Amino acid sequence: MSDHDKPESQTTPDRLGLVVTGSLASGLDVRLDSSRSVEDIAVGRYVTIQGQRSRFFSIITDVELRAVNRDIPWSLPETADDFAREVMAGTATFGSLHVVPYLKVGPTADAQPEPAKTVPAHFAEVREASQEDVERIFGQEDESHFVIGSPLDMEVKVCLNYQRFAERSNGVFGKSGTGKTFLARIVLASLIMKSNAQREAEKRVVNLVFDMHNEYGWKGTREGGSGEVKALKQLFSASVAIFTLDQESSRRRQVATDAVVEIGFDEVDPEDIEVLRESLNLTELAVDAAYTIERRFGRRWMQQALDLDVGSDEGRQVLHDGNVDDRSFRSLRRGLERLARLSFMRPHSEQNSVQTILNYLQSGKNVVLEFGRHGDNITAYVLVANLLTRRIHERYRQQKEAAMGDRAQEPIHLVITIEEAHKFLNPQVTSQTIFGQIAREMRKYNVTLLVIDQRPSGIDGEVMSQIGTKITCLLDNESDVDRVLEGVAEKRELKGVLARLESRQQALIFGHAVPMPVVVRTEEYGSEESYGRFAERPFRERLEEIYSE
Amino acid sequence: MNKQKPSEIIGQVVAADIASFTAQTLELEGTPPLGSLVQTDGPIYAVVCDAHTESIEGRRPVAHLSGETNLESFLDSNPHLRHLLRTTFEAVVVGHGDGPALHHYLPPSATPIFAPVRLCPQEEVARFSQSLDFLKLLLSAAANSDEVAAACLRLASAAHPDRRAFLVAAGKELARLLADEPHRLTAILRRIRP
Repeated sequence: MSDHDKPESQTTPDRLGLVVTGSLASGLDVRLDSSRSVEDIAVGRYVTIQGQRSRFFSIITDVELRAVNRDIPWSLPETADDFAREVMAGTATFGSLHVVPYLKVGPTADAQPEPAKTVPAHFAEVREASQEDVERIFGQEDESHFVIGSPLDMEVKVCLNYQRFAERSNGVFGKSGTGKTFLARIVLASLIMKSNAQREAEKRVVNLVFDMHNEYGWKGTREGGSGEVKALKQLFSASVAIFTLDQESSRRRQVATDAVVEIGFDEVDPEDIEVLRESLNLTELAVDAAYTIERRFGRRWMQQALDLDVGSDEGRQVLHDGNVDDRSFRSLRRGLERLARLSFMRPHSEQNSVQTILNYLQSGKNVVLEFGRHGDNITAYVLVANLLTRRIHERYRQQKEAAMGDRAQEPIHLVITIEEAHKFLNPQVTSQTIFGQIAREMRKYNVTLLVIDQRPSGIDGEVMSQIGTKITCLLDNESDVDRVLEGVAEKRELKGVLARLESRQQALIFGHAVPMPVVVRTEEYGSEESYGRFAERPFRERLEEIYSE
Repeated sequence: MNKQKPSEIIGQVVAADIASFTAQTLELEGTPPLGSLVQTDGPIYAVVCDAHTESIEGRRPVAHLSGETNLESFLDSNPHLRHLLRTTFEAVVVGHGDGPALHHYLPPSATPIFAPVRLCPQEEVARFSQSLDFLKLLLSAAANSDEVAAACLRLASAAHPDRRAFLVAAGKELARLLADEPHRLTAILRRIRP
């Protein structure tokens, strides 16, 4: 075989070209081999660069047409036949790639990937990343990694690190219809599966899901809106409990619920009203009035406020003593009346919902709270999520403090999932809601959040910066994109990648639980096989565990 | 000259320097084709880049308008002419052999005078043109170097099983060498297009 039958004599099929120039700050320029066509390259794909000692793991961020001489491409139109094109490709004219190195892997087989702090030397060979490379970076599914999807154009799996994912608050973002719920369901199912597989109690997590549209408990709508898919309870019947705020709706949907949640007026605090100021259309003075009345009547303040006859002497006296003006009081009462009309509100509830939920959580059961028909009522959602979370968090805080660092005594790690997160975490209310506090304190009290939102720009910047891992579907609003990528080093490059996501089943994942940003095609969910992935393994593992003992 | 048998001597070196030589053909019409690869002792490889037929005495031949149209029979009927005229060709040195190795750069010394010149057989052409480094020597040689290079590549391509692949590879080498002279490049590419 002569040299010309294999133009680049030492090339291997996966070789793309050679590094010719670049910098760590702005990325590397790679000259594409003449045997490779720019048309086969895709932005967002992974490449490895073999340096003299280390291997660099990089992402293609741009593709360019170049010529060695500025005039050459312009002086050739007349001979632009196949022969001339073939001759020119890779010699006078060539393709070039812009790649950004993210990780460096040392020469030894067991070397761990670390962030790239330098670049490979001139003429280092650039290859397409192989399945093994991707596996080496993103791990294989095992006790501490769960599969979230596959990189574009690859059959390997991208795994999230379960431990690292659980130890921070996380977010799933994307405009409506891009599959946030679908992704969140996979994440939740994976968390439950991995938690069940952990042998050490302190590595387990439980989930509390405030399920606005009844998507996570028993069944959910298939992506695209046609048909149904199994939700958490059907996959993990033993470790998931469904609570409901609307028993009638649950019954209609033939969902077997474990408990019905009622909220007594005496469980509502003025802080809960403060968060609802906007949705209940209350003035600041009206909120102050709530605190005043609570100071006077204690736990029964809401009932008292509803019953107070401002026309009577006693009523006037109460308002006068508290320095509350009549208009503010009426505004507050209108708001409270709206709350009182919610079907799950009772003047006094015998059952202690918080304790019931806590009991389930402490025994390692995940709780999905369905909102039934209240899901469309954002006031109800914010009220209940905030009220329950505040109390549960308070109990966690007490338990954690009582444990005094004894990890065995600590409460099991809790992940709280909220939708429409910007309602809780916008700059106006984030200082008042418990969610802002949880997001900021990380896992100090063993509680973290999984926030699901379509308007990340509405979320307070400080809270956003505390979110460990961000799973982002397509966002097209500039301010949403900016907020999600705030503080990310490769913001400019990732912005381009984010804007080119397909509107379904694709997500950009970056942050704490992945070693480098990755675009994934999300894992298939909805077939029997996909359910088997979640359900069978822990069971089989548990069986093996039993037999091995 | 496809009639030439492999390795048959076609001429003898009559003038030489490091980068080129002039050889006289054994027969008056025995000029090797433009661009063909020849070899002399050494071996030294060269590409035919020019040819002349002239009077030995330095006088200009005079046209004989005898109505004879066939050159062969014209010379047969005027046998003295073969002794008064001679044909020489020039060749650009493009490489040399060193034992089993082939080098596509100039040899350490000039071609020996009176060395016999042979036309390279096809296998030898294929072997030599496996590397296209000799194109640089060819392009920087004499006048008409572009024509010579094009002719050489056309002839050499016939020695390769995949003619097109050879020409594309050669074109790529030319594109590298002539990146700053796009017009020369396109002219040669047009001449070697398969």
